[in-house]
Amino acid sequence: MKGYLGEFEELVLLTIASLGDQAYGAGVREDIKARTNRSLSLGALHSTLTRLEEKGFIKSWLGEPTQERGGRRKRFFELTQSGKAALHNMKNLRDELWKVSKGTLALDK
Amino acid sequence: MKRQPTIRPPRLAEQLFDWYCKSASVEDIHGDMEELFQADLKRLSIRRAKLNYWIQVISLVASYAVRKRKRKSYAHSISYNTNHQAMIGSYFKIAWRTIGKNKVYSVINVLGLALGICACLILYTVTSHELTFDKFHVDGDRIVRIGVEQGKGENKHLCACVPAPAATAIREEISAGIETVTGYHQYRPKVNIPEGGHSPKKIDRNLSNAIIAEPSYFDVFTYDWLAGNPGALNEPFKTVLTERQAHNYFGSLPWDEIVGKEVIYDDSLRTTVVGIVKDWKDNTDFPFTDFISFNTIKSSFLKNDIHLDNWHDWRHSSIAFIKLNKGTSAASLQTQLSQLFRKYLGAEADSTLQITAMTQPLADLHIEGDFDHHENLFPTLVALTTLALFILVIAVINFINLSTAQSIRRVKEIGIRKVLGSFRQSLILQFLVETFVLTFLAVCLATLTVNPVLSSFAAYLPSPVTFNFGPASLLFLLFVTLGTSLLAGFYPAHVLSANSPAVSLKGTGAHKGSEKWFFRKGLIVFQFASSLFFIIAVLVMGRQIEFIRNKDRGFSTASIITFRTNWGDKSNNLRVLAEKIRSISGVERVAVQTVAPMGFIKLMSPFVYKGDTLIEMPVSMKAGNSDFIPLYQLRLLAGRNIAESDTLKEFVINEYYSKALGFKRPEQAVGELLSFEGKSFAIVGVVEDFHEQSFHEMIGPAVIGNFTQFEHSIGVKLSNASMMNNKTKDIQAKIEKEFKQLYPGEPFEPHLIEDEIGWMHDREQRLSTLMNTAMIITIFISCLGVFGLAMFTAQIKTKEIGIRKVMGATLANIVVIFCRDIMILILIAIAITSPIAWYFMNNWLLEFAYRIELTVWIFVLAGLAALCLGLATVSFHAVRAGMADPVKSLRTE
Repeated sequence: MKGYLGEFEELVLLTIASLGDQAYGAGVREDIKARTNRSLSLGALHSTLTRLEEKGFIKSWLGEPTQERGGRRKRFFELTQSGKAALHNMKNLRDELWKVSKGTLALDK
Repeated sequence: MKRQPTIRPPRLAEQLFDWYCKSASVEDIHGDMEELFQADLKRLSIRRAKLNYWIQVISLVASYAVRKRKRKSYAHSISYNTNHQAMIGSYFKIAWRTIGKNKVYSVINVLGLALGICACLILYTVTSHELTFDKFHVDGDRIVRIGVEQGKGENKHLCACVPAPAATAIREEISAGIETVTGYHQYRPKVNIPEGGHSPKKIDRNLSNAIIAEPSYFDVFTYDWLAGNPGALNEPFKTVLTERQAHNYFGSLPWDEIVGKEVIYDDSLRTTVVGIVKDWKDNTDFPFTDFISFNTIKSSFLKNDIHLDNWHDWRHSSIAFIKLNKGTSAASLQTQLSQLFRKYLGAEADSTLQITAMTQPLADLHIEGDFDHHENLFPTLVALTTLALFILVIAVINFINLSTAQSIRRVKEIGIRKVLGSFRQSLILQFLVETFVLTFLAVCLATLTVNPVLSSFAAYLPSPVTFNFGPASLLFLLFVTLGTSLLAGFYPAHVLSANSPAVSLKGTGAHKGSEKWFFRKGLIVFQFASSLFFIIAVLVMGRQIEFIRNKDRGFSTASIITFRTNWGDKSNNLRVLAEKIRSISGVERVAVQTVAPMGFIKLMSPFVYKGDTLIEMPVSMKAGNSDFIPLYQLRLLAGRNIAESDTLKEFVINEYYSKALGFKRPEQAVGELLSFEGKSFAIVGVVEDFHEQSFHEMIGPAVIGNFTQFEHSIGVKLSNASMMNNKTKDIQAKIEKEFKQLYPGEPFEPHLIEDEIGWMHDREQRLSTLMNTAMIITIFISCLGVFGLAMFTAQIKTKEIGIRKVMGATLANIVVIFCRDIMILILIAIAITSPIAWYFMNNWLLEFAYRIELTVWIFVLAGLAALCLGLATVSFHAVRAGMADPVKSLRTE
């Protein structure tokens, strides 16, 4: 397995995947906020994005300038092959663990 | 395209972010922030949204993402660096050219700034000098002076002195925390040096600064011993001299020959020199020259003056110092000391006596003063600082005003620079360099002028000083240069560099009503308001001082000189001298007295009147013989002058006292008896009230009588003829000759009584002069600024005026156009300053018991003065612009 994937990193990767070709900084933040109800700063988000890019899990490019952002361009993100693989690995590991511990994990009714 | 007013993110936050990120590419992140901000605006308040924006900026500045991008940008080939050396050189060159091109502006700016900086330099020199006093002592941080505080609130009396037996008592009764205690008595003797068969060498009282010191004095204060040692001071009739004083006494004899020589203090105190110490080189308030051994007191006439067993013998000359143990604070001793003082001063038995000990660290003594003749310098230093900063601020305002006004002439230059790729930061840097060059010139000018200015103001400074170059003062100059450059240059640089190139190349400048315009007018109002404040202060102070000088004091001062003889003299010399002076031609009358009717010394003593009820009150005693009342032309309301006699026989009282004793008319008081120290004497006359103290004090009850024991001074009235013929000097010389025969060794210091009264209001005189100077400087700087602005307005309005003239405007019309604006500004300034000035000046006047009223006229006069000054400054340019030929002014394109 290439690189360790933290919980927040996994969340960001999955959000990028879910947003398809509309995955950029503010959009990702908005989506995470809506889903998990947790407020995160741009500083934290961009730091994670930078680290993910360094690890080779995502790649990015600049889009066209837009009026509502004061004429500034967006940076879009996309999962790379190894990013996808890392997510798959993670999921497989989880599934396996779930299968084994189904009995113990049952919630009381 | 019509732009909708949009709410922008906080500018400062954006600037902070841009500045932090420098050339890193953070466009996308910045965009994210903007988007978030706009989203926030829809659901939150504007303030909340702005706060969130700030939080985002801070989170990003601290984040890894931005740091990483910054690191990347350094490797970028076109990374931009503001500190390019070649550009700095070019900035200096351009700055120099601009300064040369606008000579008048540059001169005005440099002059204004130089004045402000000069004021700062004076302040720096004075303050740093005052702060050097007594900072050099070995273990100085452990040395404290003991003093006594008596009473509370209004009646609080502080003395940096102790009762005579205090030092010994402290030594015996308090041991914890104290390393050494020492007490000494200040003493100004006249000195005789026996010189073999010749008559002794005489040295005047005011040349010796002696103390009668315990040997422990030298444990507290460290001296270099050139000969002898402190132990020798254990015996009576020994003295130690400083190097300089030894030279004074014995010329250039070697040390070992001086030791053992005899020095005679006050004719009969024969002492032997047992040691010589080096003088302290640094500034000190304790420049003692003779150290007489403490044990001398018991065995000499000194015991009549210094009562070592009497706790109620308090005088300013009895001082005690403590050297604390390491790690002990003076505060921890305070309770013990207070207890000790209370015990001996009888405060335990009498709870109305509120007595506490006071400790003053050695290093603070110079500034704090001793509550006696050495005043607290702190208020003076604060006043000087405020004044200096004020003048500097006004000069800086001038600079800002002129530079922003000038910006319109430079918009094209800036536009082209911007088009050619100049960044805003580099433009700001360029203007700051320009300011720096101007400030530097001003600093040079100020340093050249500071010493002449200091010497001409020496009388108004706490002590004479000069400005010298040293590491500290160079550092201060650097600080002033940089500080002033930034202060004066930042706003103009900011404004100049802000124009967008499209607008600036089109050639339109600041519009009326815009922020800049408003800012500039505000600055002018501030300048005029400050000038007005000083004008009002000068008018009020001048009138009060005039009032003090001219008010009827109840006695005459014309052509009277006074001088002291010897306070301790019990012989009849005083009367002999008076008699001798009386026979000098040109002398009209001579009186013996304590002091003139008005003077620094006021003797108070309880007097008792036994009328229907017993009235006892403290009354001021004016000692004088029968010549006292005629000499000073005190006006008798009833009865007669005291008769000539050699002893106290009868009294004359003042009107206030007669009323206080319950007499409706002064005649009723005549013939009544007054008791003083158990004996009764008759009142033979009542004089009109006269001023005894400065105008800060109310007139109180007073008794004039021949209290011979207090008389030690002489008042001489010269005849009109001798005053007219300028014979004062001759007569004084004759008096001095008689004086020296009877009082050899005593200093002869005659003063015109008018001068002495002047010294009583010395503080006011000094403040008034300071205010005068401040007024002249602020008016000068403000007028410089207005002059520059008017010149500038005339330049940009050339065409407007041309057209107006073609359309038929007269010279008067045009002058009015110019003057209207400045008049409105000055009127606003008057409205702002008047209440403030009224408040301060009223407070100042309230300190006087006798004062002028604050009238509206003072304010009207000050306002008119400011208006005239402002208009005169403006109208020079207005008239010139109005006279210009419209054909010429319209052709210039």
